[in-house]
Amino acid sequence: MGAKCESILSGVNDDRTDFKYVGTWDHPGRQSWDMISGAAKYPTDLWMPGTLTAMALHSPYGHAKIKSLDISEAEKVEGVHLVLTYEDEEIASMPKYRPSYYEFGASPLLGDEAEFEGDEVGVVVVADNEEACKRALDAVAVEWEALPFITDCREAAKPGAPILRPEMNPDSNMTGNTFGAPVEWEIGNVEQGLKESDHVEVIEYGRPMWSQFRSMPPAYFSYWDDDPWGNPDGEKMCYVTNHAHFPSNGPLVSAYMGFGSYADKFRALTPYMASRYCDFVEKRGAQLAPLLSKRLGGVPVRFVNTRRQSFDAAVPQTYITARIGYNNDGTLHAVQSKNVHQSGARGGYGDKTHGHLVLPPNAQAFKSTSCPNIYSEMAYYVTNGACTTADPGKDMWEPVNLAFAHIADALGMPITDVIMKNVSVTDPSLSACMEAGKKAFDWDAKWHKAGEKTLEDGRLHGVAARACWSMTWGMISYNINLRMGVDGKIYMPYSEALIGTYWPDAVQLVIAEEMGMKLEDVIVYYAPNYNNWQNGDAADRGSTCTWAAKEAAVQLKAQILATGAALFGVTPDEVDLVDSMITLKADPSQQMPITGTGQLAVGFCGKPEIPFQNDVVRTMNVDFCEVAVDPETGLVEVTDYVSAHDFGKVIRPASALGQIEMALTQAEGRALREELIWDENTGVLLNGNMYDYKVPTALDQPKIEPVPVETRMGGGAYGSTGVAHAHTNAGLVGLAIQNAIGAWVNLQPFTPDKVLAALASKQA
Amino acid sequence: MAIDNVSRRDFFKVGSIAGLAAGVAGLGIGSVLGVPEEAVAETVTVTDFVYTCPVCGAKAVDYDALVKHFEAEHPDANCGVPQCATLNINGNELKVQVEPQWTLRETLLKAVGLSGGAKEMCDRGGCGSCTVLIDGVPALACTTLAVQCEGKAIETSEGIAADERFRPLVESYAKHDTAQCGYCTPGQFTVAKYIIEKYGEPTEEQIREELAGNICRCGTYSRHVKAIQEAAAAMKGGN
Amino acid sequence: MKHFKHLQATSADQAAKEAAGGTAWVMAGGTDLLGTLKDEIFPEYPETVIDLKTIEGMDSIEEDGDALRIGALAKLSAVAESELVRQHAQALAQAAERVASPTIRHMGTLGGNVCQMHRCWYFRVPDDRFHCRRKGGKTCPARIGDNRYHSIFGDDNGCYAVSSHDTAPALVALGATVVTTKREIPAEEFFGAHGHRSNVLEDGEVVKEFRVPKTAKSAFQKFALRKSIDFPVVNCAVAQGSDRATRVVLGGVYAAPWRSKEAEEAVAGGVTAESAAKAGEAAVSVAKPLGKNAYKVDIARTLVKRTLTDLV
Repeated sequence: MGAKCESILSGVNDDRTDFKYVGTWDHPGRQSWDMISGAAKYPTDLWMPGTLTAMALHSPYGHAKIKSLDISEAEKVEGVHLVLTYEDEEIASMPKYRPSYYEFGASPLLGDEAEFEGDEVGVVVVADNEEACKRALDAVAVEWEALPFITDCREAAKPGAPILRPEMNPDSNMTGNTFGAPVEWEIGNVEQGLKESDHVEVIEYGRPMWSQFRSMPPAYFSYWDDDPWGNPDGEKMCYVTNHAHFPSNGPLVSAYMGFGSYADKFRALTPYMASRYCDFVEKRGAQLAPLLSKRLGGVPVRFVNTRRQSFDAAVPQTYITARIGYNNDGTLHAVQSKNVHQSGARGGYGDKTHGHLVLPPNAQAFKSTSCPNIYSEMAYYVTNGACTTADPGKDMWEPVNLAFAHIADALGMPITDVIMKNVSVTDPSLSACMEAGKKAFDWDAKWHKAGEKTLEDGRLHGVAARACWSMTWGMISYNINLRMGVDGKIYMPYSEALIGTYWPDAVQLVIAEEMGMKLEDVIVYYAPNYNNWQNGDAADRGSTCTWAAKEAAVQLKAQILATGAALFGVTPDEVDLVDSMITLKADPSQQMPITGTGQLAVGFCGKPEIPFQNDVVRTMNVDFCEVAVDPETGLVEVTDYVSAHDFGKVIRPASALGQIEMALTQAEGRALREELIWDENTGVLLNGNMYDYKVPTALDQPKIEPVPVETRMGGGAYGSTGVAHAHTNAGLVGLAIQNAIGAWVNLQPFTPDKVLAALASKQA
Repeated sequence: MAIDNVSRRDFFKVGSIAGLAAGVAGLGIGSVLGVPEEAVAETVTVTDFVYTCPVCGAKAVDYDALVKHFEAEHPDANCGVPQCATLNINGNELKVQVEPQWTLRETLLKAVGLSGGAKEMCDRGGCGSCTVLIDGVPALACTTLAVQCEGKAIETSEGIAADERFRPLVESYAKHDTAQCGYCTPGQFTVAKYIIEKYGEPTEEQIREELAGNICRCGTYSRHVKAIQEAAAAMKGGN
Repeated sequence: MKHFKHLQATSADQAAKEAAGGTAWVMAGGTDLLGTLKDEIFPEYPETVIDLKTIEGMDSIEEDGDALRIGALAKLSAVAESELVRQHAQALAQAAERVASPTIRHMGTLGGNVCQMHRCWYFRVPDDRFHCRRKGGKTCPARIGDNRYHSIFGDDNGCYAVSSHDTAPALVALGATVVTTKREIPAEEFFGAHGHRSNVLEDGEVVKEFRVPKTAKSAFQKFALRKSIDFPVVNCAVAQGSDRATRVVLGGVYAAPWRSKEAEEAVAGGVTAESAAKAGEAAVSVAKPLGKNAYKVDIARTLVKRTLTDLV
């Protein structure tokens, strides 16, 4: 507590204070017009004459093996063009591992074993339309062997539970994770620390599976056509939809790796992929669509999944029990935690295709406190839940904030004080966020001890706050290509599909700022043929990619000025770029357009000098939440959300604040309603539709006030950092509910049944 | 088939037939030059429409000939006699071949080539992404059959965006980042037109009520409130 | 969707005649039926879908002496906004206003909402995955499964699904009559679990209109997790007719709207804050919650109390 960290600004002009474009509003995004009007075509919107439809067989069982298959009747169905099974040589030869985030356990592109209800298995058909596909699938004679299934990781962890993946671990359902399994580590001496503590309490935390819910149901579209560049090898060009904001691990890569081909033979069809929140799951269609199209001579194939079938991109369950020891002054002294976490059906996250792992809620964040004694045990268990993706919340901070809330409640202190007493590095970022957030929320007036305030309408009032880090990653190099066109404009290509962070638009502001160009003369554009062009990582593109763009912009500007100076007959330091014109510093009326000064270009590849995730407390954020709880129905309403977020430096305010609105709206839904519900007796998903899976509507969105804080402590351009995942923590709402009702609700989402049960337990 | 230089707005008003939009604009990569006033698009007139047998792919130049062919050649086909619907989309009459079970969304995708407006999110009426206006009132294209739309005026986001009167709405939508991932945006934008026409200058409460059937995973709702109110004020002021 | 023939009806009687064989299914707004066809939740699939929306004149809302006559094709948004309905059948206007989402209310009809099939999530899993009681199966998977949204008042012929139409309890509380092509049925006797249907209609029977007695005082409340789109977890309609007797009807708690005689007795002497609270207790005194839905008892109790209080 109270420790201070130093600035790590490492690049040219990072300490700039005068800004013309950076930090200003009212710059429509380059793609905005297309997205609003519908001119933007997403993968589901693609259609060409003669397009065929492809569908896979989906398992009706929670876990099953195909004993036998007969496709002869399916092949006879009118309108059917192709029926392939898992035994097809080409399908069987496709790589079992997907690129990028390799995980434990691989799965074939199409196998004979279904790992969860709805899993694509055994057969894929291509036909004139969906109806013919369905008739063909109905006509496939399948003999299933239903196998034991488990959808709850706590069940999978129990001794004597059926072993779901004996080939991976014959002794238990425990599996690996990125860092080896199970994770166990200790700082200090926990048993001793608990003995020394003034108070010891047990805290519980639990989260079922929930869906990040991509707005677009997967529809993979692919066709093969002659290579327009006429390459002599005669190999056709594959056009395919791209659903990845990582160019390095998208379906493009899966596809060309699978075919033993190369990146230049695969062309992305659209830059629009719709929302994905650290969800890199690509379904099998991503690889099957190009394969099926190829087998049919290159005709367009649209591989479809229904909304229900796309609910399998779910965030895993996690359950934590911890003993915490703390002292009368509100400081944590010891933490002993055990975490049971769900892994994907084959033991990794990315088993269906692409996926990656971000640390789940666990004891990691306790390392950012001054607590001297920490023990953590974390184990991953295989289940038959369709969990294949990472977590977009900085959930590592949920248990630590839960511990703070318990301390605050027991000692009658505001949680804001407990946060400041325990987080080890508080300055400058945490202090600044805490101060700005408390003011905007009116915390001092709103806070009370648990269960002490009832509103006029009879509802119980509660408030809470929580601290979290704002990730400053910079773990990936950025490859920026900047060129001055013959038209005197500055061009920068990128190739990733867009998810809504407006990072190319933020990059445009920085380039214009650094070069002295008019904003409209800087064009950051989608260039699908740069299909393996590394522009960076989605987590904080709005900042860290801007850092590399800034470096490139400075270099290109130097080249332009050198050329311009020669034309003026002066030295480069006697000229500057002002509103896209080369301008004589001594006499600004002497100007020259850059058009015609030559064709100049630079490439910059690199990343800011910032450490990896173990030191990420330079930029913090504090969220505040106010709830009203109906004690008779258990219904919770979030009435106010304030988010003080240290952006370091805000590059593009409209999208920066929009990211916070997005995350808090998601947090509202996740805290109060969202979970995937599986039938315990059959393993069948029950709420795979948008009536029963409840994403917040315009009327449910709480009042949200993002409060930008700028400490210049990040690693991006001008000390900026992104929003990324920082605010989707649902746990904060639970802390506010406890402040309202005086009882703990331990399991997300905080639905009426759980709130009523907590109220009843309090009375009992 | 003619390739003309037509303005982008005209393109959206006219629509294009069956996949011919799968050129530059159709694949959504037309944004290289930002917000274009002019764009190259392929258009065909209605008389160029070719009817295709859903079973054997045989072509016919008029609908009656297709039906005759179908009944003679494929009496047992499970897809049934192809149907023809005259749809009025964004002020233009289009005669398109549909199947009776085709939804309007499916028809816009497969037969009309205006697929970017009414987007499929849930395909069950629970999200509002596929909203179009039918006779001026919001309707879900995923739960409306194309054959039910004959004789009705259908407006899609493409048509509204191309309507000069609603230019302030497009601009305020762009200015406020109402689109994050952008997938639900055309549906919301379509309802926004209805809101402005219904209320003139709507309150926040009215806007949220009317948009409450349109799910946005990116949580952009408050941006829509701002954008609609700003556009409504500008349109009221004759801007 | 798989292929079906499409028939545009010109009259309710014609539609009824076409539907008599059972292979043609009728559709009003389509917001419910098309989803079930896409998901193929039934083992059967219709040869023909009969579009009722093309019938002219079946969407009117008019006064007829002491009653309102509301055409089955009246849009939910029209019912919600109708001055006549607001004045004489307020609970129905309030209920129509809370159905689903604004766009669905523009498309969906009162007849369609009333005839909507049950929303049980086992019943609705695609491809007839659960061949439940409603589809001719032997068991109800919800009884031992995840029944958090199911009945708290027992089964209807082995089915634990709940009536989740918002307008249904309002029509029962208001003492409305359902007029079909064959007969007139009191709303109270109209609903229940009967095969695929949530009502007593037979093949070849089409709802034409609703006759709703003018009622001075009535009210409706809905409890759902979201403020829009959701079907009710529990809803409640109450009405006081000219005889001052109060009807109390819950929805979302049983396979049909649940008229609570116990609650009605508690307010027989008049509705006050005290008697309303007693009525809430009385209404749930006979509840038999399943494994995961005891919380609905609390909600039902509260809604009865609050909706009655709206009459005070």
